Amino acid sequence: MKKKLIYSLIFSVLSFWNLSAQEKEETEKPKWKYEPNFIVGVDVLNAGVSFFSDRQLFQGFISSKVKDNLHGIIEAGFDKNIYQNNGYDAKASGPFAKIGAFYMLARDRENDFNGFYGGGKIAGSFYKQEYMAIPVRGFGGNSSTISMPSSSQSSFWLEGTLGGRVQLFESNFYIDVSMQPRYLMVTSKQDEVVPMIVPGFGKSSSKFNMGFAWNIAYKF
Amino acid sequence: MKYLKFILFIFTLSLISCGSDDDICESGEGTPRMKIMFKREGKIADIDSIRVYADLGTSIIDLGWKLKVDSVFVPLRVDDSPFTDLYIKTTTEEDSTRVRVNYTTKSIYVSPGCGVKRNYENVNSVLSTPNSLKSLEQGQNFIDNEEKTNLFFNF
Repeated sequence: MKKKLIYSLIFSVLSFWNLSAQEKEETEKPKWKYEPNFIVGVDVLNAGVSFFSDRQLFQGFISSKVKDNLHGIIEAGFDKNIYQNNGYDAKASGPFAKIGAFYMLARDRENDFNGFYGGGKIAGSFYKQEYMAIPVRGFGGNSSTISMPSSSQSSFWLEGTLGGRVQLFESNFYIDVSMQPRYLMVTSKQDEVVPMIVPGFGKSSSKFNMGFAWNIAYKF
Repeated sequence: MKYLKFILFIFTLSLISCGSDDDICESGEGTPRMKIMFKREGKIADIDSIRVYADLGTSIIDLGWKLKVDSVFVPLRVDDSPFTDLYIKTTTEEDSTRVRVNYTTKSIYVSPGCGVKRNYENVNSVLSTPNSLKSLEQGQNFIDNEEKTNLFFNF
């Protein structure tokens, strides 16, 4: 409950920022031209961790400055994960994609792409899951398990993004670090069983989750 | 100063995320037990003393001596076995007798923390050799909660 409240607070604060952003755009000169610009990044932290953990998460993004401080972003990735806890034994893997926008809350005067940002994304994942064991709880710790066959499922969630982007010296390379509070909106279920892991989202037994990304990005 | 605020904001966010993610199963959502009541000369009666063991497959659990009770709750197996064996005696000198409870199980998903619970259908029980327990009488033949009596022991 507390988490939910905090989460809605974050989102309302974020949406306020977004609103103020839109107002600003309206008051400024009406004509603007989109200049093609792209930053392509790869999450090196999670890719690196993949070699040492059960979770294999590879993800990257393409972002583009739309106007002033407003940037659009598309993310895609692949996640393979297992869940062996509390009597469960499950695995899930599949691709996921996110689309959204963020606003440069504070930026470097000399470089529009340097600064702190906040924004939001919607995300979806289409994955294969298999539950080798779901606990059956009996009396006094007596238990057994049932299993579910492999099946294809999908989940959708909202994701906030808060982070910073810093140019590496004078090069076209940037370091982009962000955290992503996530809220699972809808998920398909196999035999009514709430998924314990969702690729791209993470552990999903509670609807709230937090992700981190540490990207190395290149600006074209 | 402005930057500092953002850093603080991000830092507090990361603290929020450090919650435990182990789901806990609250009681009352698990597999229901079987309710057994007692009859003496056809009428519901309390029993002076009874000791019930349940063979749950992995282990035999001892529910202990119950004194002056009108009912006992007995756990049944939650694996795929179609029966549970109960062993019953009413005095320390007596050899326990076996009651085999046959059923079909149904799995029902409860929640992430609780996983799955079993309900039992087509419950019928067979007494192997009578001792002070003379016969059995069928109650409600399915178990989906612990309210109705599923079995009567005739003494």
